[in-house]
Amino acid sequence: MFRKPRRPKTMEERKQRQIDAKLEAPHPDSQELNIPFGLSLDDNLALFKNLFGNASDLLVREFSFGARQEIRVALVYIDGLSDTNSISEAILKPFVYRSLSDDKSPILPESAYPMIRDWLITFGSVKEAARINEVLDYVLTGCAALFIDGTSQVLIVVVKGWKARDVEEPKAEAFVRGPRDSFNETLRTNTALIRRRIKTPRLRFDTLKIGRMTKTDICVVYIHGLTDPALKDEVISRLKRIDTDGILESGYLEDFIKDNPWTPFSLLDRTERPDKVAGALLEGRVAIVIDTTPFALLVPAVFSEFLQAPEDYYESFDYIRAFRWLGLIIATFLPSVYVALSTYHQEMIPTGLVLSMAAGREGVPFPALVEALSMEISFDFLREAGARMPRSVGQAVGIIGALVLGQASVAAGIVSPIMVVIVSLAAVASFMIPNYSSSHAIRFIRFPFLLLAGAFGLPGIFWGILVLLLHLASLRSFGVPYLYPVAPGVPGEWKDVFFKAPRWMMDFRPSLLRARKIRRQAPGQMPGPPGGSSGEGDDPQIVSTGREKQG
Amino acid sequence: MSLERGMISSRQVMFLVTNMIFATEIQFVPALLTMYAGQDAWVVVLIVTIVGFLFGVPIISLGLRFPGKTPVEYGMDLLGKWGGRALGIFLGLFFFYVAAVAVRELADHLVIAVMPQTPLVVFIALYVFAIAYGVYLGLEVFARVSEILYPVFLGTLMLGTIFLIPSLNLNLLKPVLTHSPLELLRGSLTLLAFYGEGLAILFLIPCMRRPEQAPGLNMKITLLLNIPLLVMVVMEVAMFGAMETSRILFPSFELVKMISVAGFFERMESFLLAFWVTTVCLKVALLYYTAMISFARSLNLRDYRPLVWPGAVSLTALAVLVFSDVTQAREFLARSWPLFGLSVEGGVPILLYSLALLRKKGVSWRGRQKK
Repeated sequence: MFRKPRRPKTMEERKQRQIDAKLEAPHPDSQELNIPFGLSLDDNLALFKNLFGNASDLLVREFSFGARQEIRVALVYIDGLSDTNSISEAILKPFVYRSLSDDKSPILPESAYPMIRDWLITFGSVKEAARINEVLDYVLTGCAALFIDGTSQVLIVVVKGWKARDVEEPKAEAFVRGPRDSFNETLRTNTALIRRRIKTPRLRFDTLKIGRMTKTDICVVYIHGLTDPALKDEVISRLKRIDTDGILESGYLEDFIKDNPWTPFSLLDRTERPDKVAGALLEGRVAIVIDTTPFALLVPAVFSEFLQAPEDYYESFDYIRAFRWLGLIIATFLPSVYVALSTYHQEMIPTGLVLSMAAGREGVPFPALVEALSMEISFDFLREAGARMPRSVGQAVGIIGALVLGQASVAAGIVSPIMVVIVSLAAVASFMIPNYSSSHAIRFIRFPFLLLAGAFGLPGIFWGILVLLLHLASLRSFGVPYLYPVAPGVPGEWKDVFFKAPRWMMDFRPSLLRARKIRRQAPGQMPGPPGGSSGEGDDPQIVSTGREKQG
Repeated sequence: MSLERGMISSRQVMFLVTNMIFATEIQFVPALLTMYAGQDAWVVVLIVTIVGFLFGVPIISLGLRFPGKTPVEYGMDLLGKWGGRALGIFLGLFFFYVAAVAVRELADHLVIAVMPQTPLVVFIALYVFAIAYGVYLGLEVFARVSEILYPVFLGTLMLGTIFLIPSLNLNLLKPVLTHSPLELLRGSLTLLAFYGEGLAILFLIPCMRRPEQAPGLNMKITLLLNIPLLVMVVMEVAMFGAMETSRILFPSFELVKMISVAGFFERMESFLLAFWVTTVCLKVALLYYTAMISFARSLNLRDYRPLVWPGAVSLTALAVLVFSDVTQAREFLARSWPLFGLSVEGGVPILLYSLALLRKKGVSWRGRQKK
C-alpha cells in the first residue's frame, strides 16, 4: 500500500509549497548536482559538456603528459572569463616542461593528482573540489578546472581575468576637486579601491552570494570595532532574506532592504566614488558593494545627506550647503507658490510685479494651474528624453526644448513668459541636489503640490508640507530617523547639515549611527599662528610629520 | 532594529507643549486680554508667566511621581480600577472636545480670511485627515515635525514683527496700570485656561527618554510661551490701541497684515495664516493623541491606532457641530472656556496629586534622586 503524501493543511502552507516548486524548477544545478564526479575522465567531461549543452564559450582542452604521455588531463574553462596568459604560463607550460624533462620514470596514476597539485601548477591560488556543483560554481566565476584521469578530485586554478572597464572618472557624480577614481564593474577592484584608502586590518568585507541564477557576489563592508555590530548584522540579515533569481544592479537590493517600501524618497545612498564610501565607513556606516555594478550602497542614509557632496569636505570654505537647502525649497515649492499666489493671493505680490505678470498672462487661455502643470510635465519629458537619447540626438532635444517650449510657446501665447522663468528656475534648482536618485523624489512631489496649490492656495501648500513632513519624519533608514539630525534635533550636529564646519570642529562621529568610537579626532586642533620663536620671518624650516607617506 | 521606539526627547516635549498652547493663544488671547485689561494686557501676561510656572510645578511632579505611567494608569492606582477608567474616559472626552474646538477655530479662520467661498467642512476634513495621519504614525513622528515647524514659525513671526517697530505708537500703552486687580485677575484666568492645556504634558512625560529633564522644561516652556506672547500683545496694543484690539476678531492676523519688508514683502498674512494653521494641526495632533491614549488605556487596548481613523470621522463631525459661527466660538472662549477649562485642567492634576500625597502612592522625584 502506498501512503499518500501528507497534504498541506493550511492555505499558506499550500501556497508556500507551490512557490517553492515554482522557484526550484528552473534550477537543476542546485540540489541534484550535489554529487561527486566519477573516476573516468571521459565520463566526467561528457557530463560537464552535457550540462553546458555544448555552449561555445566552454573551452575543453584535453592533453596527456608524462614521459610516455601516460596521464590524461583535461583543462576546462570559460573563454573570456579566465586569463589566457595565466593559463598558458601557469598551467600548460609546466605540463609541457614536465613531459620534456629528463625524468623518464613513469608517473603512477594515483600519484599524479598530488604531484600536479603540489608541484606542477605554478599559480598562486589553487583549490580543490569534488562535487559537480562546486566545480560548476568555480568554472562559472572564471576559474579553470583541471580534470585528471583516475581521480574524482578536480583541481581548481583561480585564474579569473576578464575584460573590465578601467578605473575611470565617476560618470554620475561630477565634481571639481577630489580624487578622480571611481568604481568599476569588478568587485575586487572596488574592494581594493576602498582598502587603498583605509589601511587597517579592521576593515572587513563580509561576502554573500545572492541570486539563484546570477549568484552575484555582495560585499558588506564595515570597520570592525567602529561600526555598530547591530547595524552590520541587520544589513546582513536583510540581505540574506532576499531570494530572487538575479541581482543585476544595486537598485535590485535597494528595493528589498528599504525600511519603508512605499516612499518616493531613497532610504539608501549610492555612489560610485570610493572616497565617499571610505568617508561613510569612517563615520560608522556600512557599505554594500555589488559585483557587476559600479554603484555601491551606503546605509543608513538620512535626508540631509542627499544635499551633501563629497567635494564639500575638500573645499575648505563653502557657503553652498545653505544654497542647496534654498535650492531644495525652490525646486519643490516655487511653481506651486506661484500658482497659489497668482490664483488666490494676488495681494501678496507687489503691485509692479503683478502688473507685469498680468501683462504676460494676457491672452494665455489656461488657468495658472494648467499652465504650470503642462510646463512641468513637458520639462520632465525633455529631461527624460535628453537623458535617454544618444548624445548626438540629445543636443537636438535640448534645442527643441529651448526653442519650442521656451520661445515658441510664449510667442504663440500658450504660456506666459513668467511661467517659463519659474519652471526653469525650479528645474535648475532641482539640478543642484547632488544626489541624482534622490532628486527624483523632489521632482515627483512638485506635482501633488501644484494640485494642492491650485485647489487650496497657500493653506493647501502648507497642508502638503505638513503631510510631507509627517511622512518624512516617519521614515527610518536602518533604524535611523530619516530627518535626523534636524528632527530628532541634535543641534550639535548641525555643523554638517546647514553649513559645513571646518574639519577641526568635527571631532565626533554622528551619534545616531552608534559608532563604537564616537570620537573621530583629537580635540583642539584649530590652527593658530605659529607659536614660540621658530615661526619668525622668512627662515625656511623643514617640517617633518614623522610619518612616511605610502605610495 | 528599533533604536528608540516611542521615545521622545525633552526638546521635543518642549516644542510640542509650547506649540500646543501658543497656537490658539496667539490668535484669541490678545483680543480677550485687552477686553478685560485694556492697555494693561501685558501686565496680565507677566502675571501669568509667574502663575503659569507655579501651575506647572504640581503637574510635572505628578508626572514624575509615576515613571512610565500615563494619568489613566495612575488614576487607576489612586481611584481604583473603575474610577481610573472613568477618569480616563473623561480626560479623553475633554481633550477630544478641545481638539474639535481647535480644528473648528482654524477652519473658521481660513474660511473667513482666505477662502470665503469654500465650505467649512472641506477644510475641517482636510486638516483632520493630516492630523489623523500624524497621530496614526505615532507620537514620535509628529513630535519631530513640531520640532521643525514650530521654531520656524516662531522665528518667522518674530522676524516679521521686527519690521513693525517703526509704525508702533507706544503712547497707546499709556496710562500704565489703571485697571483694577479684579480685571487683571479675570484676564489672567482667561489666559490661564489656555495655559492649562499644557496638562497634556502628563501624557508625554512617560514617553520621555530622560524624564529627569522634565522639571527644567517648566521654565523653558513658560518663557518660550510668554515672551512671544508679550511681544505680540504689546505690539497689537501699540498698533491698534486697546479698544480696537479687543474688537478685532483676530488681532494677530491684522497685525501681520501691517508687515512690510522693503516695500516688496507685503500682506504676508495669508502666508503666516497658512503656517499658523499647520501649527494648530500639530496642536490638535497632540490633543487628539492624548485623547486616543486615554480612551485606549481606559478600554484596556494595547494600541490606540485602531481608534484613530474612526475617531477622526467623529472629530470632523464634532468640529462642524461644535459652534454655529465664529462669534459663538469667541463667546465660548471668553465666557465659558476659562471656567470649564480651568476646572478640568486644574482639578484633575490637583485631585490626583493630593491623592497621591495622601495615599503615599508613587515615588517622589526627590526621593528617587537620593537613591
